[in-house]
Parts: sequence; C-alpha cells; structure tokens
Amino acid sequence: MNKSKAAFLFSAQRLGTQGLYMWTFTFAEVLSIRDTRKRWNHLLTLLRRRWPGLCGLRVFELHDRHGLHVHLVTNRFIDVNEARKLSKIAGWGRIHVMRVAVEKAAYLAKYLSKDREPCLKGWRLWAGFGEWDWSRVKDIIFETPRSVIYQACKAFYCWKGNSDFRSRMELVEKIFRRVIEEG
Amino acid sequence: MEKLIEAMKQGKVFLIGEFRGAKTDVIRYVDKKTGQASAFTATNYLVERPGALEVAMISQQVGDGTVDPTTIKVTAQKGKVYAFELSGMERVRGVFKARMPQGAEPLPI
Repeated sequence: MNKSKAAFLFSAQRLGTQGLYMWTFTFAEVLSIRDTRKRWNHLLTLLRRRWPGLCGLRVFELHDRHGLHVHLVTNRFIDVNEARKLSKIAGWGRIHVMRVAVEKAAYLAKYLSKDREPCLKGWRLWAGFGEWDWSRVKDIIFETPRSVIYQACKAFYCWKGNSDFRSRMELVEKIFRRVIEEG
Repeated sequence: MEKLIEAMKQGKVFLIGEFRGAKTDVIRYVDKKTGQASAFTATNYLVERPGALEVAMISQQVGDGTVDPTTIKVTAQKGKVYAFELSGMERVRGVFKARMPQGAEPLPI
C-alpha cells in the first residue's frame, strides 16, 4: 500500500457510513486519454449542476482493451436515467451503477496499485469532488521499516531538502537489506 | 519439487533464488488531519539470484489487519535455495521488488 492508496481508503471510509453507490462510466469506442479527461470534466460539471450537493471520489482506470474508464463513488442516490441523459450530452457511452458496502469501495483502490502508465504521468489517478474534506496524500504519515531508517539517516547525516533523494534512497535500501540479512 | 511443478502447471509464477533473510514488520498509516489509522503486517524476504536479478525484495502481507511480528516464524533457512511464488513484480530504482500471495510459503528446491 502506498500513501495515495491509504488516503483513498480513509476518504472512502469517511464518505459514507450507510452505504455507497459505485458508478462506472465507459465509452463504446476507445478515445484518447486527453479527450476522455475533457469529457469527464464536462460530465462532472453537468452532474454537479444537476445535484449541487453531490460529493464523492473518482478513480481513473486505464483498461487493457477499452481505454480510460472512470469509476465514481458517491454517498447519495442519483437517478440513473437522468445521469444517463447527462452522460449522453457529455458524449459518454455506457453507465453502470451498483450499491456497495463501505468496505467494498476499497475495491477501487486496486486500480491505484497498478503501475502508472506513462500517458498518465502527472495525473491524479483519484480525486475527491464536491463540498467535503477528503484525505490528501500530504496528510498521510506512515511508518515503515524504510521510513524509520530514512528518519534515522536524516538525523545522523543532517539531510535537508530533497536534493540527492535517489542516492539517499539507495543508502536506505542498502541498510534495509543489511538489517534483513543480519537480523 | 513435485509441489512446485504442480503449482507451475497451474500457471503460478515463481522466482527461484537463495534465501538471505526475512523480517516481519507492522506498517502503519495515519491521517494527521482526521486521525484515521490503518496498519498491516508484512514480511520482507531478501532473495539473491546472482547473474539474473542480483537481489530481489519480496514482500508478503501477513493475516488481515495487524499481527504481532514476533509471532511470525519464517521457516526458510539462510543460504538455501527456494522457489518463491509471485503475485506481482516491478523494478523500482534498479531494485527488483515483488509480492508473494498471502499464505504462500517458500518451497525448497
């Protein structure tokens, strides 16, 4: 699990306690990533105009054969027929919605574990929308053996800033390996 | 060995290498804004494969939620060759990192 995935899971836990709705938006044909994102922004604008209190989380999934999919988790009921009309206006194809338990929203986190494709570099693979305070990656602190070693090295070598980050991580990795090997 | 061949026939992927050591730790995540916390226990195996990968780091989640690391016993012996079942792999900053499915154990060769 990385920090992004942890932030997503915490957000999903807070989003709904009674249950969530999981939406999947897809296209009939494969579109370029840029076009898909434009259409997604258009659709989200339409959805939020129609349901101003709408809030939730969205996840991008780059499918092996069908291009970019958008998954959405919301905590309130939306009329699927109206949503279909709006998605048609924004140029989307199929819509699928199902009610899921809060724990099942973690299913979407599996897309965050996939390797990031080069075309998605610099993109937010997931994001919150609406008037609510979701967890941000910057708010997550984690404690792993590597982070403990990093902090110890930082104090010992008086590391400041982020310069030379790669060589620092190489050193941390070497120490970690030695800790494993020597127990 | 038969166990390994049977598993390979089922399509499972293995990395064969010399076991150099293992360490079990609890990994914790905390949201400093809301206070939400999550933790899980994972074992890291260090495997050497001279000539091919040099060193591989294989991690495996142990149980659901947090398990006391002191209760986890790794049966593999240092210096012996084992087959490690893999469920995913990647190369990060030149280090080969892989994941072993929950419940899987290194198979002696």
